[in-house]
Amino acid sequence: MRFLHAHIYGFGKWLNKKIELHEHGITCIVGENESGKSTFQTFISFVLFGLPPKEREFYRPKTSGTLGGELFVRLETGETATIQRIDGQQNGAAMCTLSSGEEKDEQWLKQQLQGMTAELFASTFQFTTKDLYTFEHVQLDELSEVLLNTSVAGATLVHQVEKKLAKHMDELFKPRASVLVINKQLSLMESLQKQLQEHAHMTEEYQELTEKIAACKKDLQSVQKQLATAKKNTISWEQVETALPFIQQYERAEEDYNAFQPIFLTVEDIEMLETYEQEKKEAVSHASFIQQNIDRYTDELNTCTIEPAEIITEGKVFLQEKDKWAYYERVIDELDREKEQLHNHVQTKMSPYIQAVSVDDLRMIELPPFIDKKWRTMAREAESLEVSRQRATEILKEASKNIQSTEEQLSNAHNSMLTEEEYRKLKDVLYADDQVKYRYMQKQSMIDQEQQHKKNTHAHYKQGKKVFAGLSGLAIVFVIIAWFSNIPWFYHGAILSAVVGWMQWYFKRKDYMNYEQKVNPPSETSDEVLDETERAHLQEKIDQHNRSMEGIDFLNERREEFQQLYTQRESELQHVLQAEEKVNKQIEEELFTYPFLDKIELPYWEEIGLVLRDVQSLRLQEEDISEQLLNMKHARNDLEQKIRAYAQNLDENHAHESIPMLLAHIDEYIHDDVKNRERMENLSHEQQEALERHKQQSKKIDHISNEINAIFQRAEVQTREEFQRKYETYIDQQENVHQMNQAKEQLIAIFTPTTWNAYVHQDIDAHTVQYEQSSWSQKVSSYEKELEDIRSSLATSQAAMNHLERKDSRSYSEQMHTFEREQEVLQQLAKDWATYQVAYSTLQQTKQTFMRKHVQSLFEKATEHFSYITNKRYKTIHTDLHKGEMTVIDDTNIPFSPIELSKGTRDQLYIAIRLAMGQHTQEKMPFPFIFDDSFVHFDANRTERMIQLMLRVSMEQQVIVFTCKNEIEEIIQLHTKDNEVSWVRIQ
Amino acid sequence: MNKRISFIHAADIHMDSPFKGLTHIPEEIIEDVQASTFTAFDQLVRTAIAKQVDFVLLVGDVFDHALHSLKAQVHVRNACETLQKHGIDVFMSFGNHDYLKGAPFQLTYPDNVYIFQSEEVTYFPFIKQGETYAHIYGFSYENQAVTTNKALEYEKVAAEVPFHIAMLHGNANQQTDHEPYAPFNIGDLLRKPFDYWALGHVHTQSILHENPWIVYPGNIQGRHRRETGAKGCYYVEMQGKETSLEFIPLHSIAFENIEIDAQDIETIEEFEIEIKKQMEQLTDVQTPIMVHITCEHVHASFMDLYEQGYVQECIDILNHTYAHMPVWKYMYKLRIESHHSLESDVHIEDHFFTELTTAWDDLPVESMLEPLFNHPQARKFLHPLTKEEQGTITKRAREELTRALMKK
Repeated sequence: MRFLHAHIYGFGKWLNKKIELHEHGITCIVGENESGKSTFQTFISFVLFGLPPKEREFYRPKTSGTLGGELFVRLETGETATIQRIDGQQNGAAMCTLSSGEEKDEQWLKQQLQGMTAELFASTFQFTTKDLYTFEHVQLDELSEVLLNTSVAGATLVHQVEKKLAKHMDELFKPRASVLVINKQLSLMESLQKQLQEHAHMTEEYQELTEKIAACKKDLQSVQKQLATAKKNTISWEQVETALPFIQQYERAEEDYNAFQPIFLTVEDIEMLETYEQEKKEAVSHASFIQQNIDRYTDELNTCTIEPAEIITEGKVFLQEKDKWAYYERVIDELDREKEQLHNHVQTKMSPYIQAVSVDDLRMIELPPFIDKKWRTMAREAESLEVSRQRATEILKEASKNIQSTEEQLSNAHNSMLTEEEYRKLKDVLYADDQVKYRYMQKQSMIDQEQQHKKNTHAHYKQGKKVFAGLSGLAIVFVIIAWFSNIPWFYHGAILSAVVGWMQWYFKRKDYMNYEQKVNPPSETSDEVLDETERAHLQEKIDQHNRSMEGIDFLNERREEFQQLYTQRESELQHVLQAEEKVNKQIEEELFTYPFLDKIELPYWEEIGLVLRDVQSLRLQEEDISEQLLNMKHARNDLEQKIRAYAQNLDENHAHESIPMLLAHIDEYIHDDVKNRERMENLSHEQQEALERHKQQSKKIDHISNEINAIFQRAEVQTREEFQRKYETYIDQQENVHQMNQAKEQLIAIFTPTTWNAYVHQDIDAHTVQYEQSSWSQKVSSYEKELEDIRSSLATSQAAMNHLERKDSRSYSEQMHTFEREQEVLQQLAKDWATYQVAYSTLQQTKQTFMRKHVQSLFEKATEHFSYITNKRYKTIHTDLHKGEMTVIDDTNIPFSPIELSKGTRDQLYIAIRLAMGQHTQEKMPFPFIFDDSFVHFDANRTERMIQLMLRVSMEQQVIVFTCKNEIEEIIQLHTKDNEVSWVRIQ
Repeated sequence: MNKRISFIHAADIHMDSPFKGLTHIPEEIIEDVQASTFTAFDQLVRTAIAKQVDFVLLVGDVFDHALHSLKAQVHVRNACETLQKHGIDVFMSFGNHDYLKGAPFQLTYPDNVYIFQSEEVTYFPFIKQGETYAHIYGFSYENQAVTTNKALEYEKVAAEVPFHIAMLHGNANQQTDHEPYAPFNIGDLLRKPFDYWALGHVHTQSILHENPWIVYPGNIQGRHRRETGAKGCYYVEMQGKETSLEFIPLHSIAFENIEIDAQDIETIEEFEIEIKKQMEQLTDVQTPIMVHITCEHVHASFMDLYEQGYVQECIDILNHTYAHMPVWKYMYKLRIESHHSLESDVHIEDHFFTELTTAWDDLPVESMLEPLFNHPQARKFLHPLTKEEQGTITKRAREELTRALMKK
């Protein structure tokens, strides 16, 4: 990429500055210090790579807000492109335009730069005083290394990074150091580990305590068990002491008991015998009582009588019909009352029309349905026709009146109109007047225009006069000049001026005069023109005539309308009269059919029609009720006859009593019979039950007798007396048993129900008891003491364990955590160290790889440059990659290490290597070299050689030189032709 | 009437965790942090008592360390005694962190504690009011690694018992962020007729299946930047065929991450404003918060601020304020992620920097690091670097070098 020109919109002190750059040679930018040379270099970097915000702020122009500009470049393809970057536009990204007009973005630019950064660009292609200054200040023992690094990446950047990484690593760790961070951390870890190991005994102690506590608990349980046994035995012997009299009592009673023969009797047997005897006595008495009752029931049953069942059934039927009788009575009463009410209602309704028609007459009259509606229609129609007729007559009268009035108005209108001849004359007069007035207005307008034109022509004429005067004056001046100067051209000028002036005056005057003659004053207005009053009068007459014409048309239309209305109403009246006649005929027909209507006015026909229809309906209801009444009376009479016949059969004395009374007697009779039947049934039932109970009592008596015999058999006796004797012997035997039981109860109370007999028949005496008691008491005391000792030991161990759990465990845990935390710190430090180590080693390895690939070509080029600038004083640069050393060999084949060279020669060597590295990069990425007063501190000879080298380089590469030194400018001028250098001078 | 049980399902308590990665933290903060697993466990006990549960399941990794630190064991034992007073049983198994053979001794726990004492799958009956209400199945790790599929060894015993609950500390579906111990697939569990699979090992709470329920409760207290948000246990109620779960947070300190885009940050004031803004947005106001900060898209000028120590100083000042709030917040770590990308590397042919760009593949990292990692004293305390760590170090080295050489 070659730079062709730059356009700075605004950058630092540069504002709208354009700088042309020599594409195939040197561009020399000359200016004093602080003139903006470095700013321009930064501008190039800004356009290509951008700048961080802080630097952008630094270079923002003070007088203009726009920071940016464009760089016009030629690409490797030969195509040109504009790279524009403006702060604040496109987020500060570059905007690139190819010569073809195609637009590209920042990404495209990055591809063109192949990942190069501003720093890499500077270290590869830029040669500055500062750079040389940095080189001059490296440690002498690092010189070879620095120079080798320079061959790798230009400038001293790689060397600086290497040093920085090594420093970081050295701060962290060295295998044999002790004060570095990781080394110190390792010492700390050692110390913490020791502390932890010391704490490890705590675990053992805890385990010992755990085991000891477990053993104590076991002992405790064992001794507690023995103590319990001893206490139990002590208590047992105390119990034996208490129980000794009862043991002896039990043994004696048992001995007595065993002396008797066995008797197979029990207390229950005697009690049962007595109970059975008592029960048997009660059962015999009860059976006797039941037999008496059975006899009584038999007697009572024999005294009871009942009626035949069919008579009772018939009676019950009559009793069921008791309600029917009451129903007949009630309905007959109700029908009678209803019939009477209907009759009265008919009489009331017919009373207003009794003179026209009677109730009996109604039977002869047949009234069709809806006759009332027919009569109502007839009445309404007759009334309506009467009204229509009256209204039509009135309208006819009104229409006739309107026609007459309209005809009178028409007559008046005809009288007030002009004749046709009068009207035409008046119109002609007004038209002639309008024509005269129009012509006068046209003429007046023409005169006004001509007056204006005349004024203009006059003005021109005056102007012509002035021009004529001026040119005449000029001609005189020319004549005077010609006179004095004797130059013939002034005479010509005088003549020309005079002629032109005269012509101006003449033609303007001619125009004015011609117009003056053409324009005449306007003629006066004609005398035949009407004045305003006369014209208004004539116009009024014409308007009045026109209005009368319009009124006659309107009145004719109205008269026509009224006549049409009159004819229409007349026709309607005829229709009404015909309809009246038809209705009257219908009325006549109705009067013939219903003569009673003659006595009633037509409007009331509808009402009487309705009443007559109601009355006819009521009469039909009355007849219906009469029929029902008759049927009901027949039914009642039948029922009465039947009841009386039944009652007479029961008792003849009831023959003349009323039906309700008879029914009451029947009811009473049947009720008595039912009661008798129930009583007989109850007696039979009780008799059966008594027989059953008697049977049961007999069985019970037999059972008790058997039981008594069984008891006798068991006692092996035959009689009650034998049984009594044997029983007394049994009582004595039971006394012994009682004593044994008493002793046993006491023993159970002292011991337990299961262990009370353990000491019976054991030949235990008071002495033995006393001995055992004493022995077990001593054992109890011994075990209690032992128990106390174990508890004490357990409490001590437990306290120690609690102490460990509370304090030591916490401390141990904390130390564990501290150890782990510090171990983590160590791990993190190791990772930091590892990062630097990997970076450093990779850098070293990559350097070696790179050097192996490119060392020969690089140093051939560097040797060439170094030999040239030292004027062939040194001929070779030799490198030993394994040792990381460099030597230069002079023209006498003597090798020198870089330290042995003079300062100036070292600088030359550095520049030679850098230039070679730059050219190596340029082969793949041709960027211009930039020299910024790089050789300012060189002596004159070296400076000249350097410039000559620069000029050699510029034959292949674009070179941009920044300098403030006149001597450099002079040297360049001395060694170059005009077209080889492009000069840019800045203030 | 269907029988009903209720229990707490918790796992991965990691009692007495040392909280690695929290170096250079003030003493008062680190005390709270190191007490957090104890505090969270106490909260679990309080919850069990408040809910009046029948039992508590602790599914492996109850202790953080195989040694079962005494402090942790004593704390757990005391907690179990408290639960015993309230009639609550504890079923406990050990996992890959607290495996049986790693513990030098085991405390005697009260009678309400049932510990699975071997790697063989067994069960304990849970008896309530004289009736067996449930069978609790499980096993403990005898060694640090169990590589077989233990799920296949679970067999239901006595089908007439109403509830069958299986405790399994293992890795479901080969989750790569956890060690692949006792690996299993959900299908393995579904083929077994258990009512509830109480899982442990994975520290993120998740319900893998419903009916039957397969549940990871996660750990009860977050311990680093990858264990963010609420941490706790599940409260489970089972009656007949109905099962209900409620997640109950127990953590006493929350871990949260803040990511800051440093692309547009030029000054330390801008950085401070951004940090404050993000810290205000942290929503958990109930518990203290440990905050991990990642600065992304870091550019050269921000790196300058960082290297000159301004960034850390700013965080220290803010930490001083936040650490003294009633509920404190603390930014414990700052990670810088460079803007550098491989696409922007130099690719000029035959250039040294291009050579450097390609030099990072297959680096002999181990041999490069031998001076330290093979150092007799250092290797006693340093863990060998994993491949992943070596990769991270290589990446950092590359960034460091690229930034230094090219100022990117």
